[in-house]
Amino acid sequence: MNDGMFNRKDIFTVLNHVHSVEKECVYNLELGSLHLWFQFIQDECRVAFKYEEKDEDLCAFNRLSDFPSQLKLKRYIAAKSFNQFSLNLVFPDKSIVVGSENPVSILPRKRALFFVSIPLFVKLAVQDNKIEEFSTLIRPKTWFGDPMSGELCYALKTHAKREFEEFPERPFRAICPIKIKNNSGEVLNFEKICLSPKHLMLFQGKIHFWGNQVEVNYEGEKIETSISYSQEIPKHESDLIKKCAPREVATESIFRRTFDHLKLWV
Amino acid sequence: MDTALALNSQQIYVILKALFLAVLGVFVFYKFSLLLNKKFSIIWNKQAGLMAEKFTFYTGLVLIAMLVLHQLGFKISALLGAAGILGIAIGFASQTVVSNLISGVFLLSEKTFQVGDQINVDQFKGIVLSIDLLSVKLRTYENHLIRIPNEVLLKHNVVNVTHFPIRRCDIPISVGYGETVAHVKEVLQRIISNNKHALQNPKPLVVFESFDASSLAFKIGVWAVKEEFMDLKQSLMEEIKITFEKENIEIPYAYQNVILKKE
Repeated sequence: MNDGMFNRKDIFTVLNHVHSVEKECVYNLELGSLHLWFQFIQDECRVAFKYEEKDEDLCAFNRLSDFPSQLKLKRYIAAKSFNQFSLNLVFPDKSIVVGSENPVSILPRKRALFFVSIPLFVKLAVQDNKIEEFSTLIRPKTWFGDPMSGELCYALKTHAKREFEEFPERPFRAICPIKIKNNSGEVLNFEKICLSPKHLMLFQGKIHFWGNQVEVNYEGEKIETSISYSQEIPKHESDLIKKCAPREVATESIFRRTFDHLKLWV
Repeated sequence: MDTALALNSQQIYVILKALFLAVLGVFVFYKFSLLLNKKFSIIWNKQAGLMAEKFTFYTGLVLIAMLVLHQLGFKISALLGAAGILGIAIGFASQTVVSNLISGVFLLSEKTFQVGDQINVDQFKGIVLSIDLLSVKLRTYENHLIRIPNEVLLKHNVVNVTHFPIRRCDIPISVGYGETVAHVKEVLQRIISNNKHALQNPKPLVVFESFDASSLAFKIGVWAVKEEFMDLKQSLMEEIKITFEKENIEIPYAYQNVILKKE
């Protein structure tokens, strides 16, 4: 494990790997807007973090002798001392709202493929036990649906795009393809998509991280919309390796009654 | 002496039997009422569970009392007759109790609030601790216990501030007449968009409301999930003060100039 600034290849020697604990050493991970420090002392793990929205390309892993001053420490106690730890990338814990660049209309019995770039979380774990998950970017919150019965989500600054090549290479974002089929006889209009990432698997490619494809079948305003999660490896990039199982396995198609005006629940 | 002893043994047996029935009955009804509470809470809500529990338990107690009295040799029919007459007398004397009881049923069926909700009734504000047959108990923010009769709740306006998952926090703001409206609005928008508790949607309001006597009146309306409402309010207020000072935006306050003239 190297110290200091990492290029994209190097950071993968840190992320998604198991590492031996070095006593008294303060580890520092900087990824996206996240600045994370953690230290293992016998049966205790001390964690501190902060966010700075300055440089989204930030990507570094360091060893320090002490925590920076004025940081609020959180302490996790275990029965046994920690020998190993891992930093794994995972999908966010809440749904994500992403806008399209312009309002979209899908004509009757037509389909469209969109790509959404989702900022990932970093999971700090010891011997398969999760300590805490941290978002790699600052997560503005938003409400999707009406004020009486909607859903709390994270809002994305990026838009859904028709070509995934438009997304820059980021070691903490995963691209999720969403195929929307309008099987109804009416035009389907929307300008926002609410995507639930809990059923997504994470795949690692040479250029991007990927989530499995989501397929949305719109049958009409008054009929439930079916959403299915492909179990196959995305084909938009070759040699993908599965890195993370979904938080919740989707055994069959999920049906959503709400297909709100201009808002698409996925 | 033998007869007296035999009679005593018989009596002791009856008393022990009645005691056993009483203990067993109370235990069974207690457990059954707890089970009903659990089931009703899952199917409906917490207060329905509590009501079911209390109703079952107290009905059970009456039944056990009658059974025990029967075991002890009392004539239940005569007791019921006496209870009927007594009931009428008590009924006349306890109109308020009955009114509260019926109000409680209406409150439950309306489902305006449930245990754990924050409500405002009259001058009282607090968290609902329990909804009982006769009253609702609130824990105020000063940690006082307030008992409000159901009848009062039915007659007064009840505001349930935590019924919906998100709430809007409205803050009135006054600035000096020398400020530019567009600049103030831009600063307020920036403060809101940088606040970690503020929801991006529903869109926050920044409104220029009126020309007041000595200030320009603005209002912001920012949404947050109900659990973060107070955090949002506090952080916005602090941030507005700090940012206005940085941006040299005047927050006017009432003052009087006293001019002394020398003759």
